[in-house]
Amino acid sequence: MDMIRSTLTLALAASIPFAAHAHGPSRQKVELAVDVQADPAATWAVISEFCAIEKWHPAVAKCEQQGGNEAGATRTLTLEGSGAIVKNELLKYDAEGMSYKYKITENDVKNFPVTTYAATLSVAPGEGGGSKLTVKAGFYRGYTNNDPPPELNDEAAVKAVTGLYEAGLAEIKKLAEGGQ
Amino acid sequence: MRSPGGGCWLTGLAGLLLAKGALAAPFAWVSNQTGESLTIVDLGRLEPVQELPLSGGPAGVAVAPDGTAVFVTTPASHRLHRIAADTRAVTHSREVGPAPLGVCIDPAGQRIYVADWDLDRVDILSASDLSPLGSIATGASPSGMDITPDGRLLLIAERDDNSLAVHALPSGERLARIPVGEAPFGVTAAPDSRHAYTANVRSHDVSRVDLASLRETARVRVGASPYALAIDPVRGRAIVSNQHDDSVELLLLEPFGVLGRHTVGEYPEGVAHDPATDAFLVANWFSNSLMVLDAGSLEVRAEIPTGNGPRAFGRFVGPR
Repeated sequence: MDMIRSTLTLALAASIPFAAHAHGPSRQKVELAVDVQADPAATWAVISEFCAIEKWHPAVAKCEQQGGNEAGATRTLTLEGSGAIVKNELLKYDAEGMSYKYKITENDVKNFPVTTYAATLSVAPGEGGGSKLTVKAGFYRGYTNNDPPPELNDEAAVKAVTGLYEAGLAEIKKLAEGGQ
Repeated sequence: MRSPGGGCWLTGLAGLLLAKGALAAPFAWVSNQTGESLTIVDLGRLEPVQELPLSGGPAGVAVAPDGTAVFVTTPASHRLHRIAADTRAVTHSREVGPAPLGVCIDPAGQRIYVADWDLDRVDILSASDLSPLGSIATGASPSGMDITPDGRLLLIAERDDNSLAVHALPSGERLARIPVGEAPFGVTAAPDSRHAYTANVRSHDVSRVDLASLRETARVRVGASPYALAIDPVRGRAIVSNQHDDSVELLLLEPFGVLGRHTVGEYPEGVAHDPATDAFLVANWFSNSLMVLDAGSLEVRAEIPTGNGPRAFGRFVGPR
């Protein structure tokens, strides 16, 4: 988790000068990475199915996939607790390169305060063995006009995305290292 | 070299002149919106020469045709800045509308046009001191702009009206509002001033507009969320940045069609063509880099680090 924290600090620091201004939205980015003590193939196996998110993300109760693991496929997520629906679409899928990119196509900003969201998950060999799992997300805040309410501003968006993937990456690491 | 001989000749001549020091290679002025700076890149040496701090989230860039000045919008501080290329100092700065983004300059280097995303308006300012000269009403969310090389037409991508506005210059009178694909963001005029091309973010395609008949005459599908275009006039080809596909699409202009797709960095945004070094340039927003591609082969010659979040939206390359 140390790796996650240090990257998170950088991402937040980068966004702070923006949050101070009242102005139209600018795209935000969050990059998080975690070292996994498992082969790249083992880490990739945990996330390679688009709908495996129902196994590795604690906030996702159910996932239904339409189409295979390829660009254009979609998934419908039902969230724990609220039962809210979030829909995603695969933009790119590269099994050989152990990477995929998807976007959110349907989402209520009350649940997840972002718009025009896309994220890439990728697995690469670790520097000292094992593997490195990286997520890179680009998105706009929930409120796309000027003067957003605090719960829909740039800071809130960065915080929500960071929180989402902190939880997800920790679980992927656990599953990969547990050999599941 | 696979393309017509003209390209070889131009490259050879430019190379000779560069080698003899008769012609310094152009600079790229890359706006880093998150990092609040401009990275100035020497396209001959393929390295950054300076990172110039500029607060307010710099986004839109227009380099004067003679390379003496650079104009930059900072939407977060609602301003337009004029930077002298020789001293690299801000000589003038003016508050314009609440959301200035796209910016362009006329071929004579006298007038600056700034599109305000919120006000649906283009402001006209003097290139010498940014004094206001007037304004033009536009459709919803004007974003990218360009002026035809003959100086006669101002082109405005009206993103939320799915249209390209064509205005006569210098009068500013609107000649047409032409329906194109969904959410046109970048627009680029052809070197012969007869066509314009828009990158349509939501319909993932590029529209070709005939500037004589004032109609869209063709549309081709490209990668996910195309953002902006750059034209190589020698080969008659263009690239468009596919923001959500981490690639650029290579287009042939005549006959109009797609030639192929080439992987670049993550979230490619602003693109340019540099005739002096025979290169396409791509600003990779997520990767924080400026990629230099051979304009003939599209192979990556160099990837140059920039500040955080490069947008480089506009004509960001100019002579010096």
